Amino acid sequence: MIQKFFWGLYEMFLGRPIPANFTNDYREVVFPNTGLLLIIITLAIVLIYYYVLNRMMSTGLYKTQHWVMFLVLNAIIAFIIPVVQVNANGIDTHSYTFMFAFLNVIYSLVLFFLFSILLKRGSVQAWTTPVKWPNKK
Amino acid sequence: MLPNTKFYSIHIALIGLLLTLAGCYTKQSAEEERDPDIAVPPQGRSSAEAPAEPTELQEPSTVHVNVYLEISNGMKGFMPPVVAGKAGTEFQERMNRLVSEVQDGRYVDRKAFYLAKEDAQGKPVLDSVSYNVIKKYIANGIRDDVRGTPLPEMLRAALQQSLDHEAVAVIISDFIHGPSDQGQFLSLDSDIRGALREAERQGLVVAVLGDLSAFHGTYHPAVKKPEVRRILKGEQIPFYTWVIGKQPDVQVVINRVFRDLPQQQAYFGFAYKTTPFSALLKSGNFKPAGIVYCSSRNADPCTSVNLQPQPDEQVEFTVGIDLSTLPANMQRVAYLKQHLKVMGNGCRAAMVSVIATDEGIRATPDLARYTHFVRVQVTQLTANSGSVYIQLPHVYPAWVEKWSTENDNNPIKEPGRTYQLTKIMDGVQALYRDQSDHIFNVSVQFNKAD
Repeated sequence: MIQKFFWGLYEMFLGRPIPANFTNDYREVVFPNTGLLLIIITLAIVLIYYYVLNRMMSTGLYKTQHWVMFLVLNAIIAFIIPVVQVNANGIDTHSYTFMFAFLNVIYSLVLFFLFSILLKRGSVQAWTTPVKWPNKK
Repeated sequence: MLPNTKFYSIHIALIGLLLTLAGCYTKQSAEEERDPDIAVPPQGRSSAEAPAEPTELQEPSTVHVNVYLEISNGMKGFMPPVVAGKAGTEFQERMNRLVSEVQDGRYVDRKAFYLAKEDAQGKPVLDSVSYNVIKKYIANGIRDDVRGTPLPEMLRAALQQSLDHEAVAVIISDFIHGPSDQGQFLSLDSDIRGALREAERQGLVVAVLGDLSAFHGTYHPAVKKPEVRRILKGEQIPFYTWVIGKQPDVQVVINRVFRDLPQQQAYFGFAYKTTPFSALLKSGNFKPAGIVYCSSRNADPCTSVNLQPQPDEQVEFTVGIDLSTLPANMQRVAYLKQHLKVMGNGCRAAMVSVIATDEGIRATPDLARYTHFVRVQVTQLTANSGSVYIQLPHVYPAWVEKWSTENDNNPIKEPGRTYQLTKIMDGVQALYRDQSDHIFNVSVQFNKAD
């Protein structure tokens, strides 16, 4: 079920895995691993940014530029994970691998933004980062 | 300063998280799956096929062999007395090696040697002799005066005795039929079939090896006109070695005891029901083309694939097959190229190439198990699932036609022919006609890739 979800999520834009003989490795291992890690790590970074750095501690990292720094950090991790996953499973590297990593970066940006919007209201210093919307105070 | 140190410690925490999570869907390696110590429920292959394998494939380490040498007058020319300084005939050399391998070779357990002749009533007699006696016959020639032995009777008697002894029958003869009643020529095929009926009933197989040897002496043709007999001085006359027994035993005899076989070979009743094979989809040596992947990620061997040929990209992949138990001449690439068939059920499939293993391929452990590699092409699917078959059909050996003649009266003009050999072989062929059509049949299941 989870495998099917991530398989669809990535193949929606990437098409069938190439080289095709590693289709099962992508679908059963690499896509679900990458997708799950993407969600967990993005959520963790968002939580750390809003709740640890800007609530439990007062680090002064509440500006949008700081938020962007964490967004980029998450994107870098999101690029590295697929490449590592592909190599760790003995799959021949192909330009598909990098398209996949690139798509994962885009998903990481979207997800980071989404989590930020959902969770920023609980932050003390950064509840308006990156934008004030939808919170009103 | 404080924010910065926090920042780095978060970094470290993140990397730690990444490392712990990296293993959530790890690839299970093929080695792990093969490991017998791991208590995983047996997969389809190991539970279903494992019990069948030993009976089918494992050759016994030793076999019992009965050797029958026909010693009618017609055989005398193959065995002229050997004199120093003059080489023996091919027949003598080959037979000497054969009986020596049977006597002293490590693959033969119980052995017995017989001289096949007929008594005054025309009944076949099988004289049990020692190794030294049969060796003497081969080297010094036949002194006895024995008229032509009727073929079917000799085969029947030798077969029955070998069945009783649970031994492989090795029958050496020129197979020139010499019946007392000429009418028997008409029914030669059905008589041969009748004589060997018990072999088929008991699940035995027949291998026929044809060879040529110089012939020095009186030649007794089957067709008695114009000459009843001729004196030959080294013309090439065929002789045959028939091997009858259980398939694994016969394999041991022809592959290990005889070793160098003549080019002319014919096999009847041979079938290999469990030929080890695997679609090779992740091997660096044989890269597949098009959309094809193993249905199960870790299957080893991979016997089921998912595929989807595209109009502009056909599917091609390689199947490794272990044919090491097949008779040697069937393992030749030229033979396989000519006779191997790739057929699809639910798809259009064809064979691209077939190669034998070599040093480079054997260096890859996963490929060392297979002796041959068949490249298969699938151009179109006609159903969502089906099979790709790789089959080796029973082929009537072409040499039989060439070695057969309707008139063997003049071997000087037409050397290397045997009277009505086709008819003799037809008789054996008819015996096994209703058995499986293929020597082996490998089927790779497929599903349309989703």
